[in-house]
Amino acid sequence: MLWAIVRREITANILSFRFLMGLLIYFSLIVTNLFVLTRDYEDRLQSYQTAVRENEDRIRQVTRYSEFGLTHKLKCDRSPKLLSIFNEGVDKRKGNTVTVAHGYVPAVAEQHGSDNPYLNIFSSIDFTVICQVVMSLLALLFSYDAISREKEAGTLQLALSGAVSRPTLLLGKYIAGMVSISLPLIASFVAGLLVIQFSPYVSFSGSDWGRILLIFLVSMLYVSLFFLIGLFLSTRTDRPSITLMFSMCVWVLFVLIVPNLTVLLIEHASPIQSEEPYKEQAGEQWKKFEAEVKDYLQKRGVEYALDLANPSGIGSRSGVNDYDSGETVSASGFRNEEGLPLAQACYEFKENLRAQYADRIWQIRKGYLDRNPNRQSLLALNISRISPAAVYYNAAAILAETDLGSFWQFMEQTRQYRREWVDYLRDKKIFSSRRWFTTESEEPFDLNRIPRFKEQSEGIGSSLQRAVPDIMILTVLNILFFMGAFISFLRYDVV
Amino acid sequence: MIWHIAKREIFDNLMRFRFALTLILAMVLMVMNAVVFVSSQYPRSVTAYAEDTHDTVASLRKKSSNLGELAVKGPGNLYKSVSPLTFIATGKDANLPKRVEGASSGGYGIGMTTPDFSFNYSWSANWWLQYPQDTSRKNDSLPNFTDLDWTFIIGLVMSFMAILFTYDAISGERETGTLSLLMANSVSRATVLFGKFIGALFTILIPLFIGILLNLMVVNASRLVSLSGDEWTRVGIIFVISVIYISIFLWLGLFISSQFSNSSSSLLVLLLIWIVFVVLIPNTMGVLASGFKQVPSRSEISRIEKTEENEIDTRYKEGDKLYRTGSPSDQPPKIEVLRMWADYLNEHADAKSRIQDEHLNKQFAQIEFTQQITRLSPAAIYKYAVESLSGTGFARHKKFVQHARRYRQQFIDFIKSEDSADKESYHVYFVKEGLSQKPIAFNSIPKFSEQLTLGVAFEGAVLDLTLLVSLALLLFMATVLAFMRVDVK
Repeated sequence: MLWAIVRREITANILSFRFLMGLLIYFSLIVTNLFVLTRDYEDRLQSYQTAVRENEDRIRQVTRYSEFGLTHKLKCDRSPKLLSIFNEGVDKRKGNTVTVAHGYVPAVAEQHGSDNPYLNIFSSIDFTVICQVVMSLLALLFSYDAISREKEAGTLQLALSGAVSRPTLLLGKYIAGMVSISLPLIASFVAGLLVIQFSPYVSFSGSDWGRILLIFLVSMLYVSLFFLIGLFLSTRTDRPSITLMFSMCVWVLFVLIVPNLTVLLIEHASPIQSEEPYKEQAGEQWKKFEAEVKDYLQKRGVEYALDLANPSGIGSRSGVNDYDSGETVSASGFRNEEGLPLAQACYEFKENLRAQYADRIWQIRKGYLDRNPNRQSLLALNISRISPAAVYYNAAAILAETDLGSFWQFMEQTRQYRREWVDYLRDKKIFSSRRWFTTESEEPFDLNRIPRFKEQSEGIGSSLQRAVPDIMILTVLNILFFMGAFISFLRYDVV
Repeated sequence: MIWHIAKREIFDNLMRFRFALTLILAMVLMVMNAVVFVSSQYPRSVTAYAEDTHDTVASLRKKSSNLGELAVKGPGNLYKSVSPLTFIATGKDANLPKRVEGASSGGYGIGMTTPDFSFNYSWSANWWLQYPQDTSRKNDSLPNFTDLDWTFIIGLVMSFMAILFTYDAISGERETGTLSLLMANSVSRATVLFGKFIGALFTILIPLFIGILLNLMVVNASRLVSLSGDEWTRVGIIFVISVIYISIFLWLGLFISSQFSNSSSSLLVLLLIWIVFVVLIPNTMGVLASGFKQVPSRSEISRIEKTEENEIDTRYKEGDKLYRTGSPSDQPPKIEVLRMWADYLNEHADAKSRIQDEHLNKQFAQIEFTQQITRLSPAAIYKYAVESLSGTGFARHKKFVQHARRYRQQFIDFIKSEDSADKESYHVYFVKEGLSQKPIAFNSIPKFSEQLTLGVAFEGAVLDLTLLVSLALLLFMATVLAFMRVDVK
């Protein structure tokens, strides 16, 4: 009996005008959007590759190790995430290149500068947002009159006078509605994937397919929720026009207003404090560092370490910038070779100390980040979960590796890389080598052995694990609204 | 007769759920917008602007002790002032840079001893106008879909409501059969149409008007913001633009409604049109346009800059030309040394200035191109018009940069005229030692300020306003023509 109802409903839905329109619009939107975002991804991939190549070139230009301290700092690039085609998340917003030095622990990323930063005034839309906005609306439009229209037309009474029970009818309507709605969703997914596959730069790995499948399932969960909300509202009223108004109200509120409002209210109610005190603290630490170095040198009776070797030419550049400090030295023509070992010892002391201070300053900066922007972002994320649209977006972002969490993982990797780099500098005794400040040296100088940054992507399992809370919220809401619709339909006056 | 129909429509609408919904939404959102604006957004940005400009003035005062130094170091940071009408349209100002920098960075030093000569000089580069991406947005991980301002409330929410008010205006009456009854009287079709339009317009303007009134009351009561006569005029014009914008959607609703005999179909079509034109087009074009009109990347620009600077360096340093004749810091300096160094430093500053100005112009051209494409959407047109009048957004930012560039010239002219008044100066522009070393009266230094008159703002909005009016007229005519041919049964 259930299948008879499902069949009837599906046929009715598919033949309806709204299905045709919905399919057409949704399909064309998704295909154009995926096309545009694929091109965008290609651009970003190319600029990522250029950046990686340029970094390698920069490393090759180095002739003295001290250049890594300031003028030729190492860089870590974050590859654009393939699935950002489906969900942009923070992938484009948070920057993608990080500078690393023994005197600087990275905490923020910059753009490698391929984009026009002024484009930030345009917000952009991806697959998930279209689904979030359009599919939820279509789901409501499919379900708002499922019960009340039949009542108005009098067919509800007829249908229930047969052997059909109320639960069967409701379940039939739900299944049929979801099948008809998933048709445009699946069609657009398939067409979109075809569009993406045409791109020579894109190839999906096994885990990518897994992630796409998961994003699809989460999308279905989200769409189903709105279908159930419509169904529930439909069982609460006698007239479809009233249900329609109510469902539009719900839609405007939860899809358009709440996600935007929470950001505004959080920025208002829990603002970010000034970073100045933290920067000042860091500045004091750097001053202490300078003082310690000066003290050390004075004990050896010099003002400047290389004075001991009396070079004929010397150039140096040093810079302290908030949390960051570095110095590049180059010298040649030593007229007092005996002074060199002492100068080398000075640099060993100084640069080791710099690395230690950088660690200390990172703790200060971490305090600021944890108490301010990161706390605010988490708060906004949690509060925006009032809206299922935000829950859905976040789950999809986690699965696409474009959420804030996976960005933070990347930042953690860059810090790990810095530790590796500092260890390398210490192990190979590079701080105390002549190559630190001069090319006039017999010491081996092999740039190939310098550790390179390798980005590790998160496994699909642990992504899924992080997405579980959001998926759970969607599931629970689904169950709640299904039960709501069920109970209120049992008590529905069909006449 | 029109009024009769309009009155009927208004009374009919007032009793409906959608009216209550619109009223509540308009009131709540408008009040929220005003409260957030006066309690945090505005005071915060005004304080930040005051602190920033105070710092600039303080550093300018310090530099004024020596004309030569001021000439080389430049006027410092120039900040964009905050418009008190930001609550009407934020224009995503938080995502735009808040300053340009007229300063030089970095110090250089060269010490050299060769058998032929010895040279010693330390200097800082001549200043040029830089465009740092220094925005006031503090947390870039928060989503940035849209801000709660009038352009959101009216542009998005009210246009949606306008559709809900009109989707069944004609198709609904056809469904119930009352349309043919109405037409059986001696009422012309045009009258019916106008009556329905006016009725819907009034019912949507009532909540909007109440919302705006509450909004302005809160803003005015705070005393933080005191709007001048000029600004009240702007608010008035913005209200008129909003009415035109809403009527576009009312006519659209009536047009589609007259084409369908079934009101749920007309609603569906309207919603899809609305989503495409109001939500999607303004938000997908950024990505699309960046593909069409490429701008060289920043790393490319810094490469060009470096090549050009190397070229200048090789030219001047060939055979140690720059060092051989002497240093500008010699006492007394040789005039030809000063001239050569001035040329050398000017060439550097000019090259950097030229390359960065051109790059910025290209970036701006890309944004303007994108804005042209987004003008497919009436919501975007409306937003740009309102932004021009409230003095926010990209157009305003571009004006700010233009003002800063004009100020650059003004500042240089000022230095030259001050310098020519000092008889002890060598009048060599611009190397520090070639200029007057006397202090300057701080008050005589030109300060950066923007002239933002209503006339200029209105001029910026004319194109968008024309587009909106013609769109409204077009839809109006289409509806009238279409309704003439409608089968009323």
